[in-house]
Amino acid sequence: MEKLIEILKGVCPFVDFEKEESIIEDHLIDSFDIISIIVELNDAYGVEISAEDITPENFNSAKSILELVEKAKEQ
Amino acid sequence: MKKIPFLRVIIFILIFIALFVPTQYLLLYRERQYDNSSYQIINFYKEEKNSMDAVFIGSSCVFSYYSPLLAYNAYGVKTTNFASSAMGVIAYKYAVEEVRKYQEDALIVITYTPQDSMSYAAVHYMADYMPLSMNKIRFLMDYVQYQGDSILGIQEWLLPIQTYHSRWNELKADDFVIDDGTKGATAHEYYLSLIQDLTNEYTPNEGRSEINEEYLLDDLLDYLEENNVNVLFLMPPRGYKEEEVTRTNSVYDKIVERGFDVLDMRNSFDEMGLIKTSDYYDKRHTNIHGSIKYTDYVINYINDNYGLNMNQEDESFDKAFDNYWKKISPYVLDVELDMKNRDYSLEAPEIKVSNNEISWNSIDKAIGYSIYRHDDSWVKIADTKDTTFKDSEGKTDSVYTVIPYSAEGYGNYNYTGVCE
Amino acid sequence: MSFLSVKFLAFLVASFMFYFICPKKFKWVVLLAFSLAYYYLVSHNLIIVLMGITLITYVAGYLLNRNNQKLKNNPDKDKLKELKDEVKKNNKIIQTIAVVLILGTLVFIKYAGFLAENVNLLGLSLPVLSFVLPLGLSFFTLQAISYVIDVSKNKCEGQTNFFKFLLYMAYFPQLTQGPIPRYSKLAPQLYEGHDFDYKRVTYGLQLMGWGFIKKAVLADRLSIVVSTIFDTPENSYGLMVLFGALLYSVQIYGDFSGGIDIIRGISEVFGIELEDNFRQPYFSRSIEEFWRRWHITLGSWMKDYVFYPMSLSRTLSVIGKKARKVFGDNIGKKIPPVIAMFTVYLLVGIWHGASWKYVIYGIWNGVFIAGGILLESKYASMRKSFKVKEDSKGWAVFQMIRTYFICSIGRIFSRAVDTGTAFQLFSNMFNMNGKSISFNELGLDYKNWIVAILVSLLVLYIDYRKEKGDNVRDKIANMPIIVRWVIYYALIFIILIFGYYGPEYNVANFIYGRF
Repeated sequence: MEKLIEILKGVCPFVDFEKEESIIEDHLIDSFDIISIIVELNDAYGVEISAEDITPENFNSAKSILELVEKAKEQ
Repeated sequence: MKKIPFLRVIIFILIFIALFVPTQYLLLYRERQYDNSSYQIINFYKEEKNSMDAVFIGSSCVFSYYSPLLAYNAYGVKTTNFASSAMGVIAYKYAVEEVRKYQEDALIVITYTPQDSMSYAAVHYMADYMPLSMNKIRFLMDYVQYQGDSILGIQEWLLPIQTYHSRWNELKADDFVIDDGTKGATAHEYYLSLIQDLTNEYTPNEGRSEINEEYLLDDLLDYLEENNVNVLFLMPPRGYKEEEVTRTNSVYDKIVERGFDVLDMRNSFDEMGLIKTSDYYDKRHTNIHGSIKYTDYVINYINDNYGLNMNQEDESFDKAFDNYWKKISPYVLDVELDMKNRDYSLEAPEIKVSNNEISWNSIDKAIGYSIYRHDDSWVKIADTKDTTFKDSEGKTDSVYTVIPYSAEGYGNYNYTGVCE
Repeated sequence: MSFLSVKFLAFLVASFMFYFICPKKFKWVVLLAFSLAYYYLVSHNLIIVLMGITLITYVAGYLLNRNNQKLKNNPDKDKLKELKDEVKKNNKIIQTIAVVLILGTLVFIKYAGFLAENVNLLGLSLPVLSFVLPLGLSFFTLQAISYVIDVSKNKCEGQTNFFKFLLYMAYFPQLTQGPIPRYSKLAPQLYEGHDFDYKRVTYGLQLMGWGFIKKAVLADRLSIVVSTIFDTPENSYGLMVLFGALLYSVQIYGDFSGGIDIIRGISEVFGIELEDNFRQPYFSRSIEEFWRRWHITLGSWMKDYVFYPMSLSRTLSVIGKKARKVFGDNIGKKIPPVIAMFTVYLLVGIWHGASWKYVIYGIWNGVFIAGGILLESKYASMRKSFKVKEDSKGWAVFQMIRTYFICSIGRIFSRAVDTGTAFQLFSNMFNMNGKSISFNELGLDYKNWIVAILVSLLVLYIDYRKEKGDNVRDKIANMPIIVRWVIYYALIFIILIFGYYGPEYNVANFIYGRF
């Protein structure tokens, strides 16, 4: 989880990823940030998160993002 | 379904209507400065029911010629107009129907002029001020189909705010006056003060030509016949194009053939005392001076042929005339309005002014002359049998006019007056 | 038919009446009937295009749905992965064919002439076709594509009833100018039917009224001045052009957001919630933010169906890797999404119309956004050196004004009659010596200017309150009844008196009407 938070903060230093639970709904990051995050995650974890995975459910909190990464690893 | 506060909704709608109706009325077009457009429709509904001896129907060729108020002042007759600018033949039937609703026994006097069709604006002038009725709806439906539009088109006149709301920009203090107290009598600038030469605008012609939209005329005559309407047609003396003359001749024939009365005044200038060079403000309309002569002639004709209640006294007419006099006194002489005492054969004297000494030519048959000076309105300063007069109270820019009189009454005069 | 006409209002009242009288199960049929009637009344025979696209989309959705169901109902756990891949492959094929057909129709009808014209410059002589656009073509084609892709990716279940699906495509309030809907959000609302609810219906009517004020009172009034400036470029120079552009921003906002409010208000009466297309756009601090607040559903369509897939695509990943080698890590990894973003704005531009001026409009926005992203660090250091306080009100206001200007100037290209005029106006703007038309001849007298200014301030105020988070309609609903009613009557009479509608009152008609 810490590694993930680090990566996330690298893209959006001003968002409190530890606490926030509705990142997408509260417009805390924009579409550009999402792409940047995905690119970083794909690089760091060697997964292939695609456009279809971009849903509020998947990106609303650091926890859900981690789950997404785990699911992507299984593919 | 949650409960609906019906009472609240109904009250909301009622208040809305109460605000809407006067707002719409305020925005309706009413031209006063250069035309009379709708004023004599507005006034028609204000008259007491069944109190008029005659009602005149038609276009501006009614309210620019026949003056109910001046007829009352001179003869004590109670008449009124139901006329709006550019009213077309298609509307006459409905106008008659409307008039008969409110003035059952009045003589219907229809002025026929060769008017081609009727514009949307003209329908507005008439319909905007007609209260909602089956007659109005039938009129609008007839008109809309005549134009080739769908029936739904009548909504333009049922909700005229659509056409007029942009007038908010032009509202003047005048528009807020509901009743200007003159029974809508014609008082626009052209009528009061403009003079245009009518010579060469009319040449008599015995020819006949096709009647435009003849079916409309037939329809009107059918209606009049079916309803046994007491009606007189008038054809006023004015400018007519050649084609209009021949067409009107055909119309004359048709009306007579159908058994109706027509008073054809097209060539009656001399008989009526109308002077082509001074009694008209444009090719189609008399000015107030011509209007006085026309009213005089027509009232006498109607009285001779149909009978009128003369010498009536009516408070509302009196009041209206007093207000009207204030408007027209700068333009007419008091004696000019006394139609019973006019002698139109007396020509207008040619006047010269020098050092407040007024001199003029002697007029045939005149037994005397009245001299007027224009101080805000015409004021009589003297009567004389001579052909000169020295005004001791006059100023260097004083304007004068001289009106001759005979045993029969006052003649013609220079309407604009002369100064040094 | 114009929204503010007796014809349309009568149509609307009829649709409301039938909708509420009808039993719940069939309310959607009422909506369908009125939607088709509306389409036919406006576009007549071109309804065939709507039908055609609907048919293609429906069939695609049906087939895709069947595949998805196969997957869902599959009992065999072992074969799951294999089946998944097969379904994915099949769906891709169906999706591609459908999208090509739909997009092809749009491109052919809307852009065939434009493309032919330009290709002919190379020496060919293709026929330059020109077609009347069916109502809402640019909208329902996007709507159809989104449906196909969503069903293909199993994001929503396809509709098996053709007529229900036709309602989704033809739903008349939103057909003309959006907002572009998503099937999963809109469809259930269309079919479930809603009873009359006094509060909801009155809210809907109020929203419609507000929309009319923005459109018929403000936008249509300003359009007179804007037309004078933009349509006779030989009389517009320097500040006059700028003034026209700034004014046009107000006009287009009033027109578009007003139209959307009317549409949403109508839907609210039916109990259907449509997404808002605008979120106080002129409070944006950057062009990028602007496009998240302006024509929101177009932006989100582009985001979901162009930006995301494109920036995560294989091709751009490869480009991204190369870019990192050339420009270094920081800039390099921004390149793919920036390319995708730029493409989006190019498409947004060209989507507005078949003309080079729209392409330039798209590029104008794209350049500022891409620039903002790529030069982010440069801008940050500039702000530091100018000692800008980033969370101060002053800086925020500056950003908003800056955004407004950039946005307005870009609009010169979209508003100008054609590309040539657009360039003429743009260059005229830098010519301070040109003789512009005088202010008095712009087409509005001072009384109308006062109305325009007052309504603009009112709109600004309401938007400001919305930006602060107030729910304006709730606030008004909680005011004492007399105050509320005064506001409602004021609203109605402002529209009745100052709105631009009805047969144009032509003074000439009335003066000459008497003859």
